[in-house]
Amino acid sequence: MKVITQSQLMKYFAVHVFATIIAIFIGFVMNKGGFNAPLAVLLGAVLGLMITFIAFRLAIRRPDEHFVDYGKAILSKWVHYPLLLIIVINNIVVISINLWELQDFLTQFYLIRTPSWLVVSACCVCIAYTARFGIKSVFRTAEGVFFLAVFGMLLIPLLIGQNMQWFMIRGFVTQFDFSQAWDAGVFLCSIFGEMTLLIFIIPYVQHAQKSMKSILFSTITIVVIVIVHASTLILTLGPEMAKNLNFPELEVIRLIKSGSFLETFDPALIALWLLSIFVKLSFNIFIVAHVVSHVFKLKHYKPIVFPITALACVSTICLAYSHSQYNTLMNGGMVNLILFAESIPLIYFVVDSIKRYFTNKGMGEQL
Amino acid sequence: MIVLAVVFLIMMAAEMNFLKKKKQSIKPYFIITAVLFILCEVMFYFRDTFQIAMLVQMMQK
Repeated sequence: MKVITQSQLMKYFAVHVFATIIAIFIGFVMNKGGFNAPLAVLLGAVLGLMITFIAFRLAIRRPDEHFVDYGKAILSKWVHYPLLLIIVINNIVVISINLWELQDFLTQFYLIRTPSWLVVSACCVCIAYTARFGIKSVFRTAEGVFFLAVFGMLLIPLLIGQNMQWFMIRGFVTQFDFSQAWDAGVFLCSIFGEMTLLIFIIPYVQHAQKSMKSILFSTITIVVIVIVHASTLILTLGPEMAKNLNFPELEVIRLIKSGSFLETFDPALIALWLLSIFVKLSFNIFIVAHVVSHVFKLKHYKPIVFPITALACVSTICLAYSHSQYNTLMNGGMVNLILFAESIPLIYFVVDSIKRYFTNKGMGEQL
Repeated sequence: MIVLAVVFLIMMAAEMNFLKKKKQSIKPYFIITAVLFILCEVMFYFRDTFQIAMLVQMMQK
């Protein structure tokens, strides 16, 4: 039952968040934050950590029980199940967004003229298999990917050093704008807040009471890596150019010339990104399968992993008709939906705390 | 849509085999898979007129 170590937990969440931000959303962060992107990363991390802390405080009260099971005792089942449905929908939509970006990226640069549905299906097969093997394999894969990914991520700024325009460094101080940082910070909070999924896996975690320490370490790792990358992008491309590119990180990587052996460095790093994103998405699929199997009291979650992945695949195809619609979605209601879904444990925490307070008070009066 | 149906059929056959080996009841899994299949087909059929992006924007309004 307790199959996840604290070290795996730390490495998994680090891979989960920094792969999402760097591989997919760094363009959005640049667009919203500009020179204030590093400050936005800090803001997003603090806000995300606060949401995760509340989810952790709730989960640690019942470390051996599943949230899906004890949630109905806190709120009634009439409230609990619709809230779980929102969490499931949110996870499916998050998977769809990530897959949409992934297929967009692959069809633009590497698999030109390949039908997008085929790219999405191929990705989904990898994700479904990892998820079906169980939570243990997801975390073990993340453990393996972590060092490679961190090494790859930290190598880029070192190799790109000669292309940086160091005079732009003063822009970090002179272009300070808190409202811009707040906008990007809230967007990043929705990504850091994905760590609230911890609430679903607490029964699988060894020494669960130490989980917050691991989450803190992974947040520090993510913040360092993302700030280094955001600063590299700003110093290399400038904020204006960085925000107008769909994949600024790729353009920066392409500036690295590693000699005749490997013309450019991007294929190796793209492979790492893909692996990290696949691990992340298989975890999201696992969470959906876990919730559905517990709601319907099924003994095995494995038989529903493939149908759920198929649903995620179709919803990716039906996510947005064009780039403009996708951008409108990302700049509009999407962040609010994700933040709402991530704040759901807060409702449980407040109600549970009130119930506990009155129960303790009642017991005190009886004594 | 036919491809989707074939994919779901293959998945269902494989999972039935898995459940038989584990000596589990097939009924609840079959119902869940059927619901997901219908959802997939409906979403795919209306993909030109309805996108998830539209739904999220509608909820925002």
